[in-house]
Amino acid sequence: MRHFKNLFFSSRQFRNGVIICAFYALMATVLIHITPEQLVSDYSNRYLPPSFSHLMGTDFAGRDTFAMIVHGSRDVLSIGFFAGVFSVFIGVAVGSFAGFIGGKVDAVLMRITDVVLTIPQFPIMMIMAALFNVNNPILIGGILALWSWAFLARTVRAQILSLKNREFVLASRMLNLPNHVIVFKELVPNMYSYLSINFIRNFRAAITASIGLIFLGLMPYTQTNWGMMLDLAFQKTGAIYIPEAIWYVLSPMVTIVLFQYGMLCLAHGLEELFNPRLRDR
Amino acid sequence: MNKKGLEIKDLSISYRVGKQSFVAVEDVNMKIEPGKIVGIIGESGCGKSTVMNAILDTLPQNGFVGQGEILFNNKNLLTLNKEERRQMKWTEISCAFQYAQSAMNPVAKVLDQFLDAFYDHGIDMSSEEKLNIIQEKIEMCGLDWERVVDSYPHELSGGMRQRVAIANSLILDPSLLLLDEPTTALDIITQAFVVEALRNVHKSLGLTMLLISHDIGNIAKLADNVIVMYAGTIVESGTVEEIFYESKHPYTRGLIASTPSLREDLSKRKSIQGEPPNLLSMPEGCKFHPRCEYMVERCKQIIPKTQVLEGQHTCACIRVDEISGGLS
Amino acid sequence: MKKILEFENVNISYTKGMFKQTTTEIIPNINFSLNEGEILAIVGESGCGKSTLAKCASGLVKPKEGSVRFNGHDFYHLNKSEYNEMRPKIQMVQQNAYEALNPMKTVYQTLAIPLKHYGVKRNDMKQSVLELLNRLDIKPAEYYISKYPHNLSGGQRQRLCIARTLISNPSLIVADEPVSMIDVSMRLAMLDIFIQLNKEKNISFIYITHDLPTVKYLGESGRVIVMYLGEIVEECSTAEAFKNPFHPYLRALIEAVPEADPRAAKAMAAPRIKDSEAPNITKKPSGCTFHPRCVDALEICSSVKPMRREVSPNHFVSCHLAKETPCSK
Repeated sequence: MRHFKNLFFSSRQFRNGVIICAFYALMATVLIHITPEQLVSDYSNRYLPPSFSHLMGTDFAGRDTFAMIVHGSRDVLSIGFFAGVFSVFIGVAVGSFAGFIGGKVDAVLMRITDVVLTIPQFPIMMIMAALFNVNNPILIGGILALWSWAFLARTVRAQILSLKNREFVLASRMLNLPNHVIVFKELVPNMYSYLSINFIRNFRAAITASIGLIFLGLMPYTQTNWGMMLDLAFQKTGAIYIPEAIWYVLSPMVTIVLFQYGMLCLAHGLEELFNPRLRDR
Repeated sequence: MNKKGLEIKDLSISYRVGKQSFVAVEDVNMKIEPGKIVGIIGESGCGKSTVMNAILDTLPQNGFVGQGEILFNNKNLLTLNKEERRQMKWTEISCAFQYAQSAMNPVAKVLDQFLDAFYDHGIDMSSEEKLNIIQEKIEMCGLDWERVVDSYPHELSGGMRQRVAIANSLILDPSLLLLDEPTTALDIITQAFVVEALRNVHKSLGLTMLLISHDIGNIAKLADNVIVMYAGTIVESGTVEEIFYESKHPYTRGLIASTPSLREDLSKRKSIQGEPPNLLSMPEGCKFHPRCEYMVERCKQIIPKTQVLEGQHTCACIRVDEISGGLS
Repeated sequence: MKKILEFENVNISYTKGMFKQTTTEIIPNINFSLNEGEILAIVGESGCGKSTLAKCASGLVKPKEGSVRFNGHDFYHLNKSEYNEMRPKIQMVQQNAYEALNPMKTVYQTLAIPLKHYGVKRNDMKQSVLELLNRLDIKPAEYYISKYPHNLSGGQRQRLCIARTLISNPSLIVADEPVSMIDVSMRLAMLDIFIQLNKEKNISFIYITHDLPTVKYLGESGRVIVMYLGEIVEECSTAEAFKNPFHPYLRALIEAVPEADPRAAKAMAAPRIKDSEAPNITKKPSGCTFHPRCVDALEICSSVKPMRREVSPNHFVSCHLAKETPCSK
């Protein structure tokens, strides 16, 4: 905790990251209740530029873009969060056991990983869409995680293989510490910064991937999903052909990019937090 | 070749870390007579490598000389510009480093690396003359010309590479040779061969040599004069006999006492208690006081000044008169 | 005297390649034993195979042939429960203490993780860690508990590694050049720790080094094995090794040690040996492997391997210059 406070005050980048992410978290939890929901169309006010009453302007139907973003934030952020968390957990578990134990376990796990890596995602998801419809962000996050854990598993395995023969691992083995203790207590902490970057990447990827899910019918159609808004802005409403609509096109983009930037700053700062050598410099 | 000496006056070197700077070397004064071999003894963090870097103009980016002069042949090196100092490297002042293996280009043959030195300094000489010089230096270091000339660095053993590095440093007939830990990281028999090579070099060329090491035994073998450093300051200096037989500073005495010997009685040997100081948190007063068995209250407050004892012997300890000298 | 470790006809080789295998022989055939509570020093230069031997003795490298017996049981042919019982009893201290510590873990965590595995409860954990640190002279312990390896000095790191090995209550510690990366003024304190552990807890030590004076410091009652290119050339007590060294290689090693005495050091001649370095262990010379460097080599030395001979009670040498006394192993 003390380290967190030190870092917060010393590193501008970390500070920015924390502030941005805190803002988004605020959006998803508090603002969502304050901002009125926009359900009614108001075509006379379409594509307005940002103003006091419409912080980000209005969309193709005259609704307040900012309100849409706020209302979409909870679902989007939770889907992305769960997608990130699940993918990292599964990836780490599979990769580290495969890498550390080696032999048959490694071979089997890697074959499964390879299959998942090469399997075409959309046909599978189409089949899933035909079978059921999900509304739960946790489950949606899980489904999205199914496609992103495999790559992480491979890279984690590579890292473990390289760390496996380090002398401090040898020392733990000589003390006859069980494999799971060595893997999760000694090796995985050395990869925290790498894992946090991957978490952010998968988080962001989930946001854009959720459009696909909506179109396949796996997720209910909603216009407040940021990815959906992006899609609508670009492809469906002809907004890119209208000069005034630039605000409408930019809004979801800026939201997503700003969020990712905030998380990256946070991750960069986290790297310093987790790596004691950088911290003491 | 002219014999030239080195004199350092009141040298202080600091490193910038973040927004602060920390003094690594403080008030260093030393006089190296031409043609002598001087050994600087000290352990990790004592500043000996920093001093060497200052002489060679190889301080890292964040290092800077706060004050002082480095006089080589009566010229202050610190007042010269970068180009002038670069010219002096290898021709006047040369060096051989500790990890000779990584100092050499792994994809170039040994002979080519020697020729590089000639080329870099724009020396105009026939190939035959160059080869003769190179061969002379290589054989002076106790190496077999045939074995070494066409080899790549990885084909030679550690000791051979170290001697090749020494031979390489002599190519352009420097007047001052600096050696950073020439025997560390080598096996004991190899060390003996490297020391022989250095002895031979000194006998043949008579150049001034500055050896930096924490290997007391090899310094005793080679050096004429010894300087003992601790935590960035010189605690004692003198001829090699004064330092080993009549050591006055508690650190020097402790250091000699902690070197196990094959010939002496081992029951009197013991380590120096405590840990070497951290650059970022130096003790107050005398920097050695937390580990000193002669410490009194005054030691925590006063920074000891270097006192001149008999002959060339100097010592920086406020209790020097109370400590009886001699190798135990 | 109970034998804690026995090497019998051990051959250590590395095989490379999947289909066309190449075998490099490091140690062709080695035999020695360690008594309980003894300190055995294995002396040799780099490339003589002593690190490989250390790893084999620690249970990390399986020999191609022969048996390594720990307390009578072949260490490399144990079932799971026997292995679990024996594995903690042999520990290793390596040269590079920094590499042997997890850079992301504090001193506390480094010790707490194994302590937990060995049954220390949460409430007692801090106390146990402090006790261990105090015992190994990492003081003030309270201050160092939250530090990371890079905050410690070389000597402290090594002591932390030793503290960690003590958690499993070992009966044998294999130390591979434990002091070579530590400042000279603190080496003896480290060796004092070994001597103390040996006396108080009867832990046997295998101390591997090329630094002869430290061997002498460890005590005249210990034993010394001199290795050259994967073979034992001399084996005797520490006292004998320095009083009556026989093998030319051991003599050269002793001659090469510099003294902290300028007059004596300057008067020292070069050691009586040819060539500064040993050949690669994979390209051993014929006959006596030492003969190319030996100043006293005879005609026979280049073709015939010398037998192991006992030159005086419990003093064995593999050299043609030794008298023709048949030996007992």
